[in-house]
Amino acid sequence: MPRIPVGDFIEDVIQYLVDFLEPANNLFVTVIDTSVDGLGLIFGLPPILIGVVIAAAAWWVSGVGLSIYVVLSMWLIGNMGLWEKTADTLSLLSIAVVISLVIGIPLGMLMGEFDRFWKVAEPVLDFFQTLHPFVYLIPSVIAFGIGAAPAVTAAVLYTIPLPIRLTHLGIRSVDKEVVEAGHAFGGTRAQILFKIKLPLALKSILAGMNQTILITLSFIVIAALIGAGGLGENIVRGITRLMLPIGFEAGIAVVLIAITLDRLSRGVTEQAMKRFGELPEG
Amino acid sequence: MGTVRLEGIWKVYEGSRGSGAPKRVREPGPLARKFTVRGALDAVLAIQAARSARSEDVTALKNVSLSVRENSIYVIMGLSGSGKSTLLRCINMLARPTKGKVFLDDEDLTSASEERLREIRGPRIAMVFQHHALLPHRTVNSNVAFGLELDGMPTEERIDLANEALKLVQLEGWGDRYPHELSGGMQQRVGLARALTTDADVLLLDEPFSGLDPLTRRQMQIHLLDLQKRLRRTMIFVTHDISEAVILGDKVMILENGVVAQEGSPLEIVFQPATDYVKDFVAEMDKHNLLSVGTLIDVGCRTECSLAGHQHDTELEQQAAVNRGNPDGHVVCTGKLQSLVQMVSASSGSVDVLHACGCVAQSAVDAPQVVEALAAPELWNGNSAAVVVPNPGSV
Repeated sequence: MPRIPVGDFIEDVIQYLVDFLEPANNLFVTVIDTSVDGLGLIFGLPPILIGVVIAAAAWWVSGVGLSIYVVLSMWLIGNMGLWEKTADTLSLLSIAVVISLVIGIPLGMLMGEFDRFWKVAEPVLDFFQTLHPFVYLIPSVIAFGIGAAPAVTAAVLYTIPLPIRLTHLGIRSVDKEVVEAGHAFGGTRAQILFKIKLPLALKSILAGMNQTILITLSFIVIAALIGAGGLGENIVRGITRLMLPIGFEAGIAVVLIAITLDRLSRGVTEQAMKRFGELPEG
Repeated sequence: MGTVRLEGIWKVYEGSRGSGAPKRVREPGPLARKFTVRGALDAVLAIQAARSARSEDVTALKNVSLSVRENSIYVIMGLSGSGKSTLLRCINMLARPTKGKVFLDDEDLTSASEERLREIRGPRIAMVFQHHALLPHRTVNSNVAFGLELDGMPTEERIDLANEALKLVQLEGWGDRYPHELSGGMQQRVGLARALTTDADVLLLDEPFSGLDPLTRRQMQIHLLDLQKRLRRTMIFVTHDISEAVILGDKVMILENGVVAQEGSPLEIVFQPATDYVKDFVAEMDKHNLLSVGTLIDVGCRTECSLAGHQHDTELEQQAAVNRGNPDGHVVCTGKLQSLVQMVSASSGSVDVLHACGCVAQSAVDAPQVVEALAAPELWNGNSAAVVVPNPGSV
């Protein structure tokens, strides 16, 4: 029985894609790098200022508790000397999340509307979600070398099934009778999607946003393996040189950010639900 | 405006295994019979039957025709799975009939374009749903105005119209609340208001009161009759409750497995059930709510009015006997009318529902009002009337 060259085959496909997309590659890398640099400028502002802004945002969307938590965790991160690394991680994270949501949510909407599209896409999403995160790093490096662009690309590929799935789920779970009411009053497909389905799917879509943020964060840490920088760099250094303090300090910083981001996005969800979405029963 | 006519409607839902011809269950051959243990054979047959059933198409409606006069209430009644909701949805083409034609004022909807259908849905045919189907993220007012919004009416105009509709359903001042802040009955009234704002001449009501508690349901039925008296729309009302059908309907159709079992006036359904199926329904009917609660007098029509087993004052029974003796009478004679009037006056308290078939359907709260209505024969020039007076014991 001859060995089936699965890996070689995939390499050929990827290489073909890379060659095919060659002209766009440089542009993409430039765009990503510029965005990361741009965000870097913002995060390069005095940490106190950023802390105040985030704490205020936390106060607004959630309450004073989260605000205090933000101040304390930022102080600890600064105290450990990890603020710059944290800022790098946050820049990468923001860009990857934005791309993932901007592409994922409309795709999820399309799949919610067109069942055939969903049937084709579902196995692909399954594949993308179960493929180990490390594996994404290889083709990204082949395509873009090392740095921010491959990290963001791999992160988007790995996380994009989440917003797609949860948007699709949200749209599919909308009460059929309400959709029918839209038809019964002469609504067009677009009116029904935007006035009925999307507002009612908002909760699920925002849950997708929350998940995307957290999974992207964990992926961005791993992406330090291909030179993405940020807190992951310290963790990787901790592993390779068995330097426990460095690794743990960076690890704790990641946890602190993760909790902040989770609570912030939940707060945003709550605020958005109050304004535009379905109100809680009761 | 507002006549609805359905001609020979069939609706077939394709089976899950495509639309191939239904497979026959294969009978086991003689060898199989001989060598198979009985239980195993049964199991095999059951599996085959299940497979074959799954691949078969489901016929929801079989050659159903109906015709609804404008400004009347037409009730479609049947058990779940009888095809009544599908039939209702054929009228506004939310369900496309496989065969047959749907006419709205002589316009054939089965050949109308999607765009034309959208124009009709809302402004011409509105709908009320079983679970109200309100948008939870919008205020009551914005929900009521939703049909107009889809139609592209400017905000201020539609909000005014919505407020008027809320007045009609007695929800004035609730416009800024959210649906979840309202009780079930109120939510359903919002659903009703939403259907009323578009000024459609045809209202489709899909079991609108079946999710409500009995007391609220009763109030809503009275409320609907009251609205109908003022607004005069064509209403097609789906229900699984025979009492509701009889109280509301000018005409009632009973649907059994997609076939019309009987169509007729409520009294015909109750007293002249055409098939055993309808008979069962009527037997199941809680006559305490409809008949024993009060008295049903059938004036001058052929309907056999069975009063046996009820304890009534003898005058009414005599009256009923007189009516029975006058099988072809279409004229309401003074004597009978007077006796009706007397009976209503004698009930002294409130009269629950007055239902005069064929013409006026009205809920009257006070006996004098009922007397007034009865005293104007032109209002109920149909040939039958039913008065339901609450039993003193039940009030």
